[in-house]
Amino acid sequence: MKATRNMEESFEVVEAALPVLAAVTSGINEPRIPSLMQILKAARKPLQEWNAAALGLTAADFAQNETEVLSNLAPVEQRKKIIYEGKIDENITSLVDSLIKEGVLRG
Amino acid sequence: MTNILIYCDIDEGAFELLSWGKKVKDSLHATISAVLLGKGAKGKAADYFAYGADKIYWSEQAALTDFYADVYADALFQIANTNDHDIVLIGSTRRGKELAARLAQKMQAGCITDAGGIELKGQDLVVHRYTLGGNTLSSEVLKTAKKVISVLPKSFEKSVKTAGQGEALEVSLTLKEPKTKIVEKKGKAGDAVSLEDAQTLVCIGRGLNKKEDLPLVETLAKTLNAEIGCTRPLSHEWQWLSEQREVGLSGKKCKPRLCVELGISGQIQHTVGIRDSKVIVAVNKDKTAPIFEMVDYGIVGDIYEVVPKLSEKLKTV
Repeated sequence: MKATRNMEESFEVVEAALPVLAAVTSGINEPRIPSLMQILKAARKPLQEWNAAALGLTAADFAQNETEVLSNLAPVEQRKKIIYEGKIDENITSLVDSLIKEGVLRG
Repeated sequence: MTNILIYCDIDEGAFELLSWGKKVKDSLHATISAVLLGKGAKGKAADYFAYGADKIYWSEQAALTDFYADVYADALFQIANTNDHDIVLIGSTRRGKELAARLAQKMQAGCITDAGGIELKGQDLVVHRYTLGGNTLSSEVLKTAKKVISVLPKSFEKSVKTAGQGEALEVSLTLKEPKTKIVEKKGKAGDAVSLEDAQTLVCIGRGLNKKEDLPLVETLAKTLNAEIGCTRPLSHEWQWLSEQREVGLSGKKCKPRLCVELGISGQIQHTVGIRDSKVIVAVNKDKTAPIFEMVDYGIVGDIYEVVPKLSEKLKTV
């Protein structure tokens, strides 16, 4: 199998003998839109469920979770959120004045 | 005594990790070592000491010519194992991410990739990372005795170089042939822009109708003495700007003093790249766009009308 990897500074064309595990980035392919017939057919396809017992595994075969999540929260945004609407020329003047006061223009 | 081992395939990344290590090593009672692999490794040691390494392990063995993650993971494993390192920090570059996972498996260590920060809580390392596509910020700890953490570039500030000294040890490694083979390397179109270092940044998104309209943005950027960044569709789908200009989760993480967002709705995949800006300004014609939730100043308006006027006004300042 041959694949192109997008690295920081270059593209690498890499070869490997099978079996191969490849992780691909999004956008690798455009999924086609299935036809109505295909959607209907898909509903009739058999679903095979595998659980641990079917694979001959017990709880002991699974690795312990190695990380503990202490919290998982939306990041806090502490921004001024001053939004100008309406008269564009006046708004631009106010914005530029504010940016000068913030000291973020030039230098 | 904790022994922390640091490796990054890009030296700048290693310097950032070393700078962090230098800051926390006293509270952790830790030693900070770094690994240098491949051609020219030994010669870089002085710089690594200058950023805070106590010890360097280096090897210039021929097997370390190209970066093969399986070979490099083996190399780091042997170094970590024989020298009793419990914590390995790796720069979360594209190569580093793969390396971290492979190394953790070999070390039987817990692994967190793409950390955006590490906080000390007593002797514990609390790792912060974006999860759920960048929508949430998670704090996690590794419960395993051995830990591998890959840290995103620019997460730690690089310290000032000091006249550091330490011990540089050449290691002899037993390395196997890699399982993959690089058959070709293709350079990328030269755009040596460094958005991460920009003091002022102008980002453009899907609000731009066509490539021919880029001068609109360029004029503003020039007036502000800013670099131009963009969202993923512009760099990847349409290729109006180079990949090096993509800002966000899969692109660059920037910390400018001023960031101006033009025609950008504010998808989290992009905004994680500008969140650390000092002041954020946005221009968007949709006043309900999520970008207005995270700005200091916003103008509701069409970029085609606002931006030229803004450029003109700024020229008079």
